[in-house]
Amino acid sequence: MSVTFKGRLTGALIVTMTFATALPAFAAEPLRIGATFIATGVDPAKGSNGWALTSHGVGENLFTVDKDGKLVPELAEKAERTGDLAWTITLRAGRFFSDGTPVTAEALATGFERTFANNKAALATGGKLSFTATGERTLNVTTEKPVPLIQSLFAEWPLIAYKPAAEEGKAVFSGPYEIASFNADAAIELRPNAHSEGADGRAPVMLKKFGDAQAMTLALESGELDLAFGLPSEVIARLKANPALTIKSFPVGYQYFAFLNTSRPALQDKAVRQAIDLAFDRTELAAAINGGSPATGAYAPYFPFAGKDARPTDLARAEALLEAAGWVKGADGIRARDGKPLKLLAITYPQRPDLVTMLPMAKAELARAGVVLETQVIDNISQVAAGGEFDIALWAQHTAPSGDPAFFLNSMLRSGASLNYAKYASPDFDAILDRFAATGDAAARVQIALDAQTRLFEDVPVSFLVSPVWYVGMSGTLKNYEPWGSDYHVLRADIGEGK
Amino acid sequence: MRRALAPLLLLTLLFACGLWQPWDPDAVNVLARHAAPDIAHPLGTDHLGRDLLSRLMAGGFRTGIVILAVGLLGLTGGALLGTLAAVLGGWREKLILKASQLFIMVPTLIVALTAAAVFGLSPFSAGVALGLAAIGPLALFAHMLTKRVLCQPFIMAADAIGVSSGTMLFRHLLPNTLPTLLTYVGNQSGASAIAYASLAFIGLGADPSLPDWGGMLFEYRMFLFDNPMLIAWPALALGATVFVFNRTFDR
Amino acid sequence: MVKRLGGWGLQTAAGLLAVSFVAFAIIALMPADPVAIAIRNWNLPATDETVAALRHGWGLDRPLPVRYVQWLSGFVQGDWGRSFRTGEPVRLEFMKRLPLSLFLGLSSLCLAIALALPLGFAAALKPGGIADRFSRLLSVFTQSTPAFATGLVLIWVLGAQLRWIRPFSNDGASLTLAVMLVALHSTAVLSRIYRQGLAAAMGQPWFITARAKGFSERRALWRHAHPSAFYAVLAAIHSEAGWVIGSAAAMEILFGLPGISQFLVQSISARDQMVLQAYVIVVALWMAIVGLVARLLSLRLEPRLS
Repeated sequence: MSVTFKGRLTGALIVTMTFATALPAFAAEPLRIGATFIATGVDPAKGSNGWALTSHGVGENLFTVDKDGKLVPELAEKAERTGDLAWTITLRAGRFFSDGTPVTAEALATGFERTFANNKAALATGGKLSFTATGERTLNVTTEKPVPLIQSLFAEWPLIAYKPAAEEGKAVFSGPYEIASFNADAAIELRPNAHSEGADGRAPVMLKKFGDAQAMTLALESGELDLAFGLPSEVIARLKANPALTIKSFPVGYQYFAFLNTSRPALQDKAVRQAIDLAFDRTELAAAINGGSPATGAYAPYFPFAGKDARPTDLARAEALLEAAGWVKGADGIRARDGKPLKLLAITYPQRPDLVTMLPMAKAELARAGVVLETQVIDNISQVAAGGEFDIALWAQHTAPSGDPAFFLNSMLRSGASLNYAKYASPDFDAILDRFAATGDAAARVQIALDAQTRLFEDVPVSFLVSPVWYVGMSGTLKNYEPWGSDYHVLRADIGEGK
Repeated sequence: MRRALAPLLLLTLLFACGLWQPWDPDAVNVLARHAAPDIAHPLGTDHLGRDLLSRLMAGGFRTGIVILAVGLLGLTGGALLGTLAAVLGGWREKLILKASQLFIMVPTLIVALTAAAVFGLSPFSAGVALGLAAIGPLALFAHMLTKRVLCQPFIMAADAIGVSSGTMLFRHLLPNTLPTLLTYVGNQSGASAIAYASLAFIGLGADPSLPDWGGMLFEYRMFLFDNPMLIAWPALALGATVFVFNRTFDR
Repeated sequence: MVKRLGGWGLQTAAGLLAVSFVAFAIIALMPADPVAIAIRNWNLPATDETVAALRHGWGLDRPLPVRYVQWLSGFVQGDWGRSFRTGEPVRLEFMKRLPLSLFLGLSSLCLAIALALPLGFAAALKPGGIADRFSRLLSVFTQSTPAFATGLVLIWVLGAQLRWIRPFSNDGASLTLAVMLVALHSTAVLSRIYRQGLAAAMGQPWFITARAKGFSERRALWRHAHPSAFYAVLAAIHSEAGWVIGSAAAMEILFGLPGISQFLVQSISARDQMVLQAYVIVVALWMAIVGLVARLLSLRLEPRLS
């Protein structure tokens, strides 16, 4: 081996090594991100895939909510009302799908039409919308019901913008990332969308699903992850002592609440639901999950349309209500009516570890009032909840994802709504919600939201429990990561760009 | 029979644990979370302030049910069928043996897993499923054992002088096979405690708020770092229970 | 030999049929209506016609034996039904996850045999020696501690304290740990059986003759006692295969490995009957195939013994 060749080889080696060590966050080294929820499919019109794909930075909406909860244009430039039911949306120039074609009004129109035909959750605010592309970047929209603020409608999670692909169930998106490989229930590999701005400096991402957050914590601790989103609160104290990790807490727009299934024999009785609502001790629940505050109503306390006072706990009144409803305490401390014990099935899901912690708490709290709970933790909660074979379902939901109070109420509590797991049907309540359609005035909408909540407090199809804080944990690579107030934008354009 | 004393005592203890616990095992107390052991809570409390000892005791009762169910079902069903097969002979022997072989085509734990999926996981459903699944191998074992005894000279002699079949069974046959069978059943019951813990750990169809030892291991696994005793106690209780059964019935 | 194997194969096939029927009947007891589930999950209109059409289409209006035969003919043709949860054909879902579960089970069994033989041999060579005491301790320990409890402690020590492995990355190291945990129990059991087999042979007159002919103990043990002892090991493999499947299921939960047991757990709250049915059959097949291989090996080893 000649000297020059040897020298060259050494030089090459040194260069390679420098390259490998100096650029940890760049193309070669994917960011490893753990979450308890990842997309279960790639069809944006199915279930909650729209939300998941946006959260992963794959898809975008026409409008979105920024870091401070403000409604801002994303793929759109502006929207103008041209009639009672008609709007014209102008798209931003210079945006491309991941296949390199420009984002046109026509492409989006076919995507939206498809979503409205297939996903009932999309119908919550404006009914069925129809779309016509009148120009390269002009999209005419006609709503079924009057919508005061179409920007907010297009920020709702079902309305992800996409171009349907030739193969049924597949689609092309415009976000900062595109899916490189998809393995349902396990992992998604993302690569930068080459046709998005700043793609060159963006690292690929390995998004891994954890069946439970406990396992995700261990993975973070053993250096397997650069970012763990949604850590269980019990481990925070220990993780904060770990110098290799950065832990951040942040208040979220999510609310923890309990659906009380109004179609079940025992819970058909409003008094029983009210009693359960009063028996929950929210201070205790918040303490059990190490953070957050007792819920004041349907919304996180920082929203203007949130209730002012924490929901009351009054065990004596709860017991009196049950007594009056004919549920009498026996010698064993369990209430019964006509020889049948007051035994309810409470379910929740492991993807939100706080809820799993709250489940035995709820059981103990209701036991004080003589109500027995059987509990179950269910992996695929939405199917089971839709099936209706439960009495109480502990739930976590972003109740103002577009910065507006209406979507949550319309999609989860209106009579016959697709996500109305409590099977709540109240014409009075629906009448209150109808007022949302009539006004775009912020103050008026606050009042409507407050009225609706008062109605819910009375009827209790849902018992609001805790306004939580969440935790993310980062390795050194991503220590500057800033979580936004939810998990609607976990991966954003800026995350993989040279930290 | 003297050596059966320890497991019997243990089983009695497990059942006594079900009758009384110092605290309600489900009662929470957020002011006393992860409390260190003291007089009030001899083993301390868990992450929700539940008394660990009470939960351990309630879990012991549930484990006891499984052990008893498996022991009874396995012993009566398995020993009876196996002995009968050997004594009866002919097509009936063949039938029983074939049926028993069916049982061992699917592992015991998978039978119980299926039962948990269909009927939900409870000590009762698991005990019955594990017990039924244990009948197959036990019947084969009892058959083999009885056959061996049947070949012994004293049995042949008894047969030659024409003792009644009842006398034959109870005076000559069972006294010779039963001790070995009991050993086997004891081992199976011990193993069933592990199987039940595995089922509760896997969590298929289980109510996670109930204090099963396996379920506790699953629920508390996160506290292995800060409060390892939460894991240690259920694991120890389980290990000790199985150890007593295996040790006593070893050889 | 071929005839004997053929007879055994026929018996196994008949057994599999019986098992699948019993499983089918029990799973049909499940308190859930597949039609209701399908309507819910596939967003179909819940009219009487749809319900009746679905019931008829799936043959639910026919008696159980007829349905079983339908299912069976579909199963052997590769149609394992459709998962209610994912909407995908069950066979595809299983094919995605089976390699991992099979790997876990097979490598655990092989590892257990590979470890049990030297351990048992050393134990027999020197009764009461270190190897003997170690294998006895191991068997007491593995019989009273479930693999997942040992696994919890090891994850803590190796993953979080020492940081030698990344327990949930599904990489080589974490898989190896899972395999070792599963293999531990079988190693202990098989090594005791092997040792016992060797010890029994050592008392035989032909062994003593071999020793008298000047063979060293080690050589005599290997040449003359090993075959019959190994035969006993092979006979015990069937029941160990069952144990391995159970432990592997717990490992899939503990390590978050996407195998068939994890899939079953995820599916069962949606009352995914076809998944459960397929699971039972796959496990029964696994047992049958392991049994077959063990039988072939022992036939090769000692044609006279069987």
